[in-house]
Amino acid sequence: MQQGVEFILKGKVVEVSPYLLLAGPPDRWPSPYEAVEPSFSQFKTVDAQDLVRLHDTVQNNPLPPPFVRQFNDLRVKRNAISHSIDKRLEIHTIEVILCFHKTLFPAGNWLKTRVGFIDNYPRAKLDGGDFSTNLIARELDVVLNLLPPASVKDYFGIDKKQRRYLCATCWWNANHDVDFDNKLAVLRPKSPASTRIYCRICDSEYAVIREDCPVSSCSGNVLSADDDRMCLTCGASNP
Amino acid sequence: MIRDLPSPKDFFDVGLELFDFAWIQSRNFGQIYPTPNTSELIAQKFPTSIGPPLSAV
Repeated sequence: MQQGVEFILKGKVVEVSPYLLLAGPPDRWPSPYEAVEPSFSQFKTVDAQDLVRLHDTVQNNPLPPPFVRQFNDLRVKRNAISHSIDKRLEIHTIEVILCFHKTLFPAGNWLKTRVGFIDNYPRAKLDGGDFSTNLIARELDVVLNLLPPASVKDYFGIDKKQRRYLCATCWWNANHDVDFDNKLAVLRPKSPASTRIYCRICDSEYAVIREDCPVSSCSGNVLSADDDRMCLTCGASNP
Repeated sequence: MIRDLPSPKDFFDVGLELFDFAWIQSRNFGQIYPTPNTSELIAQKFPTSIGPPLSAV
C-alpha cells in the first residue's frame, strides 16, 4: 500500500516532468556516452521521504495535511514491518486506501477502479459481468458496516444511518444463485416521500415508485419504476 | 538522452494495482477472501496428493 501511494505520487510529479524524479548528482547517473542510451529505470529516483515535498513544490495544489500525516504514519509502519516486530501495529487498510485514493484522484471512484480489477479475474471471464457485481456489492457491504458514519459520508456520499434498499439495476446484473441480497442503495433526498434512489455500486440515480409492496409480510414501500415493479425491500416482482 | 521515459499513467497503473492488492488482503474481507489454511494451500499446490488415487479415477 505504501509502495502504491509512492508510485502515484511519482506519477503526479511525472505529470510535470519525469526528469524531476532523478535523484543524486549528474556525475552519479548512468553514463550517456555508452553505445546504448541509459534507460529511465537505471536511474535512482527520489526517496519516499522527499516525495511529498517534491510534489508540493511542482504541483499547483499541495497535499492536504491529513494525507501527509497518513502518508508519514504509513511510512513509519512500513519500516517497522520491514525491519522489526511491533506487536501492537495496526493498519486500517480499507480506510487508508479510500483516503489516499480520494486525495490523489478526487474525480475518481475507487469502486469503479476496483470493479476494473475484478473484471480481469479469471472467474470474471468465465462467469460474466454478474461476478463483479456480486463481489463488489459484498465488499461495499463490509466497508459500509465497518466505517464510521463520517467516513461513509466522506468516501461514498451516503448517510450510513439511512435505510438501504436493493438497487434494481445491480439486481439484474447479479447472480442470485449465491444469495445476492446486498442492500446498498439509498433514497435521495433522504425523505419519506422521496421518489429517487441512488446506488453507489452502479453510481446511478433513478426514479422509484412509492407504493406499498403487495407481499403481506413485507413493509416496503419503494418499488422499481420499470415494468417489473420490483420491491426494493424484499426483491419480489409485482408486475 | 534518457530512453523509456515513463508517463504518469505508467505510475498510476502500478500504484492502483498495489492498492488493489492491499485492499483484498484486508482482514476485514476475511469472509469474502478467507485465508487458506495449510492443508488448503498444500491442496492447491499439490492437487493430486489429496485427491483420490489415480487408479480410482
